[in-house]
This record gives sequence, structure tokens and C-alpha cells, in this order.
Amino acid sequence: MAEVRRHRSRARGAIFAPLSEVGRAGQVEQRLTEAIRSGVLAEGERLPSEPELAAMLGVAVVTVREALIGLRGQGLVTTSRGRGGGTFVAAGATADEEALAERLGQMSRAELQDRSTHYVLVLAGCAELAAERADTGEAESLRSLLPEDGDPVGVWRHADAELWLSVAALTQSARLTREVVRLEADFGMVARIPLGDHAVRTQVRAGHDRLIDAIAAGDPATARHCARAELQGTLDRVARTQAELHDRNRMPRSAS
Amino acid sequence: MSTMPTTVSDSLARCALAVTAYFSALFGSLEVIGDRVTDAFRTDPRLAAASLGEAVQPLAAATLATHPVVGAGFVAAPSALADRELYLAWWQGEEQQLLAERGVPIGHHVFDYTRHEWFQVPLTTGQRHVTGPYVDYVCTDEYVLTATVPVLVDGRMVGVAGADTQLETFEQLMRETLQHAGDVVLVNTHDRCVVAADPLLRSGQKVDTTAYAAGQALPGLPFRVLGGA
Repeated sequence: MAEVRRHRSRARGAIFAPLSEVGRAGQVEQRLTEAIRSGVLAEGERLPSEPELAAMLGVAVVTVREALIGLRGQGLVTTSRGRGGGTFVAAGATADEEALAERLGQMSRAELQDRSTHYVLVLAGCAELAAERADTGEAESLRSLLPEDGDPVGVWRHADAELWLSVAALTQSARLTREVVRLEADFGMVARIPLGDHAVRTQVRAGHDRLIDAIAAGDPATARHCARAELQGTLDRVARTQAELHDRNRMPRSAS
Repeated sequence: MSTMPTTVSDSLARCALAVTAYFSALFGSLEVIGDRVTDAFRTDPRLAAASLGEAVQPLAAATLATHPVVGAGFVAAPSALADRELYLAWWQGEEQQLLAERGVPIGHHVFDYTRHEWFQVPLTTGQRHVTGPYVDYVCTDEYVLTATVPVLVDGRMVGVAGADTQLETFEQLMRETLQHAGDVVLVNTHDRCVVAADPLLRSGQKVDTTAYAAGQALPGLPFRVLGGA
């Protein structure tokens, strides 16, 4: 646009002022940090090149470079040169159980219950509609997303998120799918804390099998029931873990 | 001048013409992208992602400008490029954002787009294909139809050139044709409704094709128009 429109107040002007490249490097770093911490970007995954990231994020290459320096400083990415080189998500950057526990501990019990209710209701509804609308082939293709017993916990968490996203897509509703993408980015990593326990993984895997069976059989009521039972079981564990964290964090009275 | 169709076969033919006209034009652009990619691989058999992107970008932009599509580009087959296992030279949205290696919201599975119908069908059949309607949570987060053509270099498939059309855009294009078209419905290879004259037949809904007396396959497209229930 050749002409810059005048806005009524200075406050509005400030809102619409172009972001400085300095502030943008921080934004890029923060966004990538969240993506890595939450597991959206997997361990060992190669990030797009600097020019590609710049094009994707709509910022200058120097801005991306600055953000990557910050990420390296945090130990979240590593960079190697030469053939096959590039910037990769560092080992151990995503499976940060401590960061997850901290996030859960900072949440109030009421907030966890509220988020859990929303999460379970949306995903159970997706399972119900998926069973109604998917054909057998689509349902069976969900099985290819299930992890193996020997896979590390990070793989289990990614696979679990991908499975629920695929179930959401089978509802044929773009809005509902976007809602699930948002829920996964926002709350998914907390909901998957119990997957750190091998026994839980085995249970979740069995639950997934029952859910996919119900979707393949075109049985909406059972699919909904399986989804609710599985998710509620996992989230009950999250609630107990949170209670333990809150107990541990409470200052001893005698210390005052 | 448009006249109101009077017979079922008339309605089917009008629908078939409209669908074929849209996708023929779109496939024309995708073949141009494919030819450019083939040339790039012939010039440099050890083609790198950056050079591929440079070759495809102007044509993807032209495709986005010419057709009512929300995304267009080229998706590489595994190991086709010298420096990347998988790669999306794909631009989407009003800002023509590059997807590159994103394209995948979650973790390592993400990168593996090769299991998706829009990649698998051209790979295994060697034919152009239209996938959908489906919710594309990998790239656009929209309910789309994805047109893809295989791109070959000396008989070896190096990837697919493709473009995404939002279902609501396609529905608008077809609206006039489907008005007063009785019970005409366009179905895909999975017998799912793409668009229909009947407002209660939802896109994506499974259609009982045996309930229709008349049907017509669309040449070179994975669609049929049905009518005369």
C-alpha cells in the first residue's frame, strides 16, 4: 500500500505500527521454543533452512539467524555444517519432563478440570462422528499411526497427537479439526504426561485399538464411549500427579 | 443463454461439462509445473531443494493467480532430491507462504506425506488424480479437493505437482449448474458426495449409488455424476 492510513488515536497507531526486526527475532525464538518444548517439533527433526524459515515466517534472514542463535544458546537446537548439515532439534529438548511437571504444577486444579472437560468432550465427539462418517479403509489407516512397544516416549506422544488429529479430520469438518489442532498445541502435552509410564502406554495402546475397532465397525456410540473412557482414565492420572506436585510445592508451615 | 434442463441426462451432461472444464484447466497448469520440474532434474540430476524451489515458485504463483486455488506447487518423492529426503515446494494462502518441510503439524510422522491419497494414487497408477473432499490438516487446515499429477524423469517418478481447491470454492463454481438439476450428485471413487443439487446431501457423505438410475463417468477424472433416483 502506497498510503499509510491515519488512525484515530495514537494507541491505534501503535498497534498497527510495523514490528521492529529486533522484536521479531524474539517472537521467532519464542514461537520455535514453544514448538520444541511442546513436542510439535520432534527431537532430531531438521528445521527448514534460514532462507526458508524467513520466507515462511515473513521476516528477514538476519532475524531468523538471530533467533537461531538464541535457540542454540538455550540448547534446543544444534547446527552442523557441510553435506547433510543444517539445524536440528537437539536431543532431550522435547522430552523435558521437568518443564511439563512445572507447567502442570502452576495450573490450578480448577483450570485442569476445566481444560480436561473441554478436551474430552471435543475428542469424544470427534470419535463419535468419525465412526459415523469414515469408511473401513480410512479407519484401518489409523492403525498405521500407532507406535510400537519399544518406541521411546517422545514417539508415543507424537503418535498419540497425530492419531487424535486424524480422527478429527475424519469428521470432515475443517473447523472441528482446527479446534483439535489448537487443543493439542495448548493442552495436549499436559494430557500426555502419564505416557511417561510404560504400563500406561500399554493401556493407552489397548484403548486405541478398541477405538479404531469401533470406528471401523461404524459404531458411533461405542467409539464415543471408548474415547471418553480412555481420555478420562489418562486425565485422572494427570489430576493425581498434579495433586502430588501441589503437595510437594506447598511451603512447610514450620519454615515461617 | 442458459436454458433449464429438462431431462436427467441433460442435467448430468451439464454437470459433467462444468466439472471437466474446471479440472482440465487446472491440470493444464499442473502439467506446466511438472514439465519445469522434469527439465530441472534433467539439467541437474543432483537437484537440491533450493534450486527446485526457484524453478517452481514463479509457476506456483501463476497457478495461484490463474485458478481459484488456495495452494499450489510440487511435492518431492522420497530421496528424489540430493539434499532432502522429503520436501514440499508448495506455496499457499494470500501471502503465498512457503511450506518447505513444515506441512506437518506433529513430530516425525508429519514428514511422511507419502501415505496420503494425493501422493499415493499418482505414484501407483501413474495417472492424474483428484483427492477429496477431505480435511487437509497437514497443510491448509481446510476442507479441500487436491488435484495432483505424477512428474516423471526418464520413467522415474520424482514427485507430484498439485493444487488445493477449497470445497466451498468448488461448490460456488458449481452452484448455477446444480440449480434446478433435480437430484444430480457428483461422487468420487469412494462413492462420497463432492457436491449435490440436494441441499441435504452433505459433501463427504457416503452415497448409495445403486439408488440412482442414471450415471456418467467423467473422462480422466475420478468422479461420476449420478441422477434419476
